[in-house]
Amino acid sequence: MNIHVVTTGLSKTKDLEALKTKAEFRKATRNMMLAWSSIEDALSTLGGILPASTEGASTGAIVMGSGFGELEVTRNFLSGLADSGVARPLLFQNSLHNATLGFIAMKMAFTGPSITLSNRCFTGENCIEVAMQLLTQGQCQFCLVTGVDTLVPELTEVLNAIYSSPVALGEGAATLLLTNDDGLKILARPALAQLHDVTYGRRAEKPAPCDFDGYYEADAIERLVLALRAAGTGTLTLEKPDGTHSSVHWSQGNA
Amino acid sequence: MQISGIGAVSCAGNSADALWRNALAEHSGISDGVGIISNTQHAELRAAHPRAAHASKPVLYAYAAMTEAMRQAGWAKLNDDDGLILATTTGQIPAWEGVMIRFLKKQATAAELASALRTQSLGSITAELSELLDFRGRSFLTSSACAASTQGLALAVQWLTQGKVKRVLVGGTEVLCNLTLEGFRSLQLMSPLNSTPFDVNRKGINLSEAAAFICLEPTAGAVTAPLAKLTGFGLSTDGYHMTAPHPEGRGIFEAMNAALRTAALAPHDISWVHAHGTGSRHNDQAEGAAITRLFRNDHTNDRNDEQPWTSSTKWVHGHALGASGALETALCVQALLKQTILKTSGLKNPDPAIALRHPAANAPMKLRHILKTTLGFGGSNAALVISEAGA
Repeated sequence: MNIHVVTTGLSKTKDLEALKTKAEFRKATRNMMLAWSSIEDALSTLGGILPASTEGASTGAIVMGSGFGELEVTRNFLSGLADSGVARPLLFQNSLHNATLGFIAMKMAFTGPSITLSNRCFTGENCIEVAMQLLTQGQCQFCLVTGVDTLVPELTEVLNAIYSSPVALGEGAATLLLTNDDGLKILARPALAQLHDVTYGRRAEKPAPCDFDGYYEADAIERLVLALRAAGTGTLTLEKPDGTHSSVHWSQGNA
Repeated sequence: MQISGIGAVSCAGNSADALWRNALAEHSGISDGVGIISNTQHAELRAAHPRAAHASKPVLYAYAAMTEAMRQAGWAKLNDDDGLILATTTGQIPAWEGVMIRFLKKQATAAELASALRTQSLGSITAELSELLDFRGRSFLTSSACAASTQGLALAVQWLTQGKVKRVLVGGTEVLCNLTLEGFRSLQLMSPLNSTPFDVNRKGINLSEAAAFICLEPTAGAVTAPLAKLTGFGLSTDGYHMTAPHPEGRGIFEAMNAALRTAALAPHDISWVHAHGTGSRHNDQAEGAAITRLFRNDHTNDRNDEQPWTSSTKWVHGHALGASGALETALCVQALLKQTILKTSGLKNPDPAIALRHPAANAPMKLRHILKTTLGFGGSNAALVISEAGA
């Protein structure tokens, strides 16, 4: 069973301005809007929506990754509770790590597997790996893989201090639409790339610092999207602050 | 895949065996509507696990449950070609939520907050437990609300099937915090007394603390005989509402169907359904509708419309959110070993709108396959089929 990248999408904070004015995002968090924006970007090359056979069908899955999760909403919930003694249910439901996934699942009307993952600097790689598993094992025919993270303005300095390496934390979201051989036939279009594997390793020597401007814990998906757009075939290796590294291996098109 | 070991720490005891004994004796760990792991329990766990004695509660509880499971499975340690899957919704939040508020009120320094927030990213639990276990292999952390550890068990089967890892230690850990307690209160989902799942007078859920872990491996290569087998799993999404399941339980129905499909079983093969059964009005209604539909639609069933027994055990141990699936799987494994089903403790007047078969007592019966369900916020559903060792 081959795993194909159909489309890719990226989103940055500046992309949110257009969404903020829409009624459907009135109750959405910044994570939700960023994630949706990257999905829209990915699906734009398919005419904006997935094929009818996918939309609303159990063949569609979502794997969502975030390191900090909904930290901003959690801060707002706790702050409101401390200030006024009032717990706001909307803030609570949006504070969960799984909230962004729930929001996207409702918008996409997907009924296949939906999984939220969070594993520090391996969050993005884990998402790609789990999506590949779901497709390989026939648990779905299409899988949206999205990594998203946002910062809290008042806490950015504090969060930066947590990372000892010279990393300036950033925000962003990126999406891959993956499918298996059957899904590619339904789409009747060439794939951008074929994904082969995600591997992990440990280096004995001192690790290289994270040098990606705007690093966030789920950023491996963004890094992969950029790499896929830049080169037809390759391996993306990401050095981690703890001395480990990950590699995502792909080749061009359907090959 | 065989289940070789189980471990559990909950408000109903510091071991999987204690949990089973309390469930059988109908001793609840719930007090004033919540299931807190007591100070006495905590002190016992610290004394029994000096290596993790100074770790945070969710890490200590997880470590205790992990070592219990590994001991039973005959695993001396987790090797680098093994896998670790953790599930949690709020991770180590008690370590930082208070500091963050003090910082925002200018009562704590940036350095104090930075120190506390190191544990905010959920993966900090994976990192700390990996260090305690001296483990350097692959790990995942799922955070799909209450379905998290059930999903983790499904991902573990996939990992093993694909040969990515040799064995998997999988489970969840959950402790209570202001965010969870006040959040669920704001949704008016909390019961002030013990929850009474499927009862017409049910008042809501009992949030609780727990950690539970399962040792999962292919039978070929296992050093101990299987306790049970994980033979099927199904994952689905409602795509309906952020905090309520689809009223007809469409999502969990699909997950149960998928679990039966992967186990190559028909509905009539199921002896007992261990339900999510939280005691909330919406969950019990939706889940009950889905279970009823699953077995009503079984045209291969020569027992006509007879359903299997269905129970929830949350009156005993409460709802441990992301850890609940693993905790209740540990109970299912013991039910298979003891060939005994548990009743829904606290259930006095079954809701007539929920057409399930409720066992009247904890009772011995021939058990071959158990269907375990979980439904989570965000619409994530997961179901497992847990089968007796000889299946």
